[in-house]
Amino acid sequence: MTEPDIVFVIDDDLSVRRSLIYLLQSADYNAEPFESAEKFLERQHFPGTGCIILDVRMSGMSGFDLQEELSRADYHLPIIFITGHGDIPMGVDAIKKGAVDFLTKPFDDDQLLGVVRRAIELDRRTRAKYDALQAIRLRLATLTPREYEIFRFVITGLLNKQIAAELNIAEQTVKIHRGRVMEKLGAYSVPDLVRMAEKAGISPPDLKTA
Amino acid sequence: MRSCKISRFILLLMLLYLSPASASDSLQAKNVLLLFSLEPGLPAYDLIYANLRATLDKQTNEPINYYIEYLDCSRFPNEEYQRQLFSLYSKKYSAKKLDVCVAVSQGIESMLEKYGKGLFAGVPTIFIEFPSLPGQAPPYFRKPHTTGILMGLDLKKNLETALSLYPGAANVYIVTGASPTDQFFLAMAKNAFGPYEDTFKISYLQGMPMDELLQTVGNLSKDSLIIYMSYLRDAVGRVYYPAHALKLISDKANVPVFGMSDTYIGYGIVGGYMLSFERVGIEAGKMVLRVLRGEPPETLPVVREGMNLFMFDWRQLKRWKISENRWPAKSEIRFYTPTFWQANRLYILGILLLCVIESLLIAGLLFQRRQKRIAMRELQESEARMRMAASAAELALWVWDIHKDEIWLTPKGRTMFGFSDSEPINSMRFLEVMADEDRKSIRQFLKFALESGREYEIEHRIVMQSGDSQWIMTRGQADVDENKRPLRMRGVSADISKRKKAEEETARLRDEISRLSRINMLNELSGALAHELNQPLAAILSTAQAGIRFLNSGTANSELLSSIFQNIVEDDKRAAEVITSLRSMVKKEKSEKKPVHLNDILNDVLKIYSSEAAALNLKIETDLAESLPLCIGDKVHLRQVVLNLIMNATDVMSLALPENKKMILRTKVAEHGVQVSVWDFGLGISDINKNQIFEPFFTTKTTGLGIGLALCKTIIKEHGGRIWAENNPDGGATFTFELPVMKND
Repeated sequence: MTEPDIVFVIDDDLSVRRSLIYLLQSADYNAEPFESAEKFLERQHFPGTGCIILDVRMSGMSGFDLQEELSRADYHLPIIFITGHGDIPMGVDAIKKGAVDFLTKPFDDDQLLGVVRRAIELDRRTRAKYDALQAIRLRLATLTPREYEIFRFVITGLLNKQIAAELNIAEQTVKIHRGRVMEKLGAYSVPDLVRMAEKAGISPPDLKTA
Repeated sequence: MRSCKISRFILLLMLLYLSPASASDSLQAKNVLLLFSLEPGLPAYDLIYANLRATLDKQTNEPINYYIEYLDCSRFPNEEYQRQLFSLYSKKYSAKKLDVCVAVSQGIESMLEKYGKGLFAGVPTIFIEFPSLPGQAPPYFRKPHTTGILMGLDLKKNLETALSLYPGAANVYIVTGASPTDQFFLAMAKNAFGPYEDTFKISYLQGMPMDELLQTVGNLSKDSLIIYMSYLRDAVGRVYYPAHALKLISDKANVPVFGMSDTYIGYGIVGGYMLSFERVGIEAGKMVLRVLRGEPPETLPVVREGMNLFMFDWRQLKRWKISENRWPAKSEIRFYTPTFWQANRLYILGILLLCVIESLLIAGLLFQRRQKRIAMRELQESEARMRMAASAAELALWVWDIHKDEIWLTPKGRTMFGFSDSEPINSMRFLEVMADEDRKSIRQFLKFALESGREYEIEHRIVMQSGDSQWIMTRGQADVDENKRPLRMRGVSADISKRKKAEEETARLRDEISRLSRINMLNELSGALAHELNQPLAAILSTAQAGIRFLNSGTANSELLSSIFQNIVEDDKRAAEVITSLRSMVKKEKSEKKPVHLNDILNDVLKIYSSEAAALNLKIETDLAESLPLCIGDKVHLRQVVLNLIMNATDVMSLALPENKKMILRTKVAEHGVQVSVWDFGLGISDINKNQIFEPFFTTKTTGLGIGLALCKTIIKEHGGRIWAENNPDGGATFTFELPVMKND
């Protein structure tokens, strides 16, 4: 099920593109060449781990244009920019927008391959984080609206009695819901719940008695 | 039988010549009766009769008897009189066979109807009448044996003519008498002038007693004019001839008087668009003739047109100071009195011309004598001056006597060519001092000059004893005898070394500027060119390093390595090409012209420029002619021109929208050679700059030196071509140069 890592090479210069493919293959990477940003966008969405080596200056859509386009589409592959004559401000700008590195041609094999390795590592980590979050979200989605409400009060550290008062319901009811929440989310303690809420970006409710 | 015929013929002749009166009465003479409804002496009647007769006289030799009756029925309107009158006519003309009756003017038709039946039954009758007024019965010309002429008065056009001649007028006075005829005209005038009453004050002076009328017309305001219709009788019963009444009125009037018919002209009216009774007479004459020749009158169309015309009295036009440019075109001007100059123009001109010719003759003779004297003196001076001028201008004069083979040379010339003062010079000696490389062409020129007798001019070098060489310009011409054999050759030579040196220096400087300009352009492109070189270098590095990695990891096979090396070679060649094309732009070689294909020049330049274009997101389209003839040119210089034009086009589009950032390069075969054009989509060239863009140091850029296009022009001119710029119909400009096609010989 897991896809092999792929390095995408996007450069409109045939010589450069060809040389990068050789270099990546010599380091045992799967590499896919594209002669333009547009061609890359036409490719089927890649769900696996990988990175993009992207030329800044191309006829048609430029490297920066593609970076923005991918970011808008939530397509989060790490980008390594390469350029024939880059300057520092250009590089800084690219890094700020989330690029992994900015290399000036010609570059050494170690330099490029190092960056590629780093980028793939980064992507793997990001992807793991994202997968964990995705798992929590899936579990949160199984809560009923009432359970979700109780969950938000529980993570504030209130006792069942206090929650019952806040919501104007019987303490017994709170207790039953709370049991279900723990069960559905697979949590063993309140700190477990708090960590999940943090990861999923869920905030506690405003309290009447605060 | 035969004699009988002859005798009859003789009898006929006798009748014709011996007794014309009786012959015309009894046999051929036609009888034409004219009936005039009013009294005798009216100018209109006189004009009609005179012109009718004149027309018939012109057209036919047949004898015609004219009988005229004046019915005078305006003054004698009672019926008994009219009845009696017709019964009298009946008796009077009972013995005559009337061929045509011409009945003129109003009312006569009904009288004929009433009283003239016995007399005029079956006689072809031509009625001449005014058109009837609205509401009255139309004249019935269509009865058997009748036709007619309608004397239409165009009173509106007459009034408008008067107003255009006398434009200040605001008051119009219409003058008529009190008789029935006068009233007829009054009604006609009221009918015609009605529509003008809104614009002008129109007053009718109708039947006023003459004294009173004269009083009135003598005291009119200056913005008035008078239109005179007719005045046969005034209100108190005094009778006038209309023309005489008019004379009285117009003499007294203080404003111009216009009239309605040509009968009034000469009696004080200015004129107008008037009815011409003359024309009426002519038309009547034509009609009578046709009836006499047997055409039934009812088949003749009624004549209505062609009787009105512009007619003016020249004296009256002068009197009222009406300028000539107001007169309508095609006006008939009467009573024109020419001035002395107009009357005698030809004589005066003739005399003047004679005077002038004589004066010129005398002047010519004097001039000729003077010229002769001057020429004599000038001839003497000329020789002295010639020598002085030659020596002042540092010119050498020489004459080569071909038969004796002797060359005479001025002292200046001997110095110039390095001969001593006294040594004899012949053609061999003369050619000896010429530079070896020029001797052949000098011989050719001399041969040409001797054969053709035409003037020649050459520039050549001579070698002095010191070994220095000098540039000399020589111009010469051969004198030939009557058999076209050369006698001698005369010539003049000048030392042009300084000029030559300056020219060489200029050319060297121009080459240098041109080279610097190329370097300057490449400098501007350096970024793009560095990129262009960097790409293959980067590729080579990465490919080679990949190769090493494959080898180290033991995964290399020969197939893989072969393709790696293949790619390295390709990339290296690509880098080398960039360097070559760069060098082709900066090479400092002597300009050399060889056959070139202009498409190749464009492609060479595109190689250098494509990366810059890509960097700027500029599209360059090409439209190159497929089979282009070769031209002669210097590749480096031509590339420079093309690159310059492309870079200029790029500059003008630097601020353009992305979709407009494009240019089209074209080559095509034109009438006078091959054209290369660079078409851009910028803002075009303003009219102010149009004439200056090819001038040196003219620039619209903030960073330009203004030598690019000037150099282009110099280069293209040097190639015998031309370069120009024009705006495109849909924006942008096109720069084009044209080079002549190489001749195959």
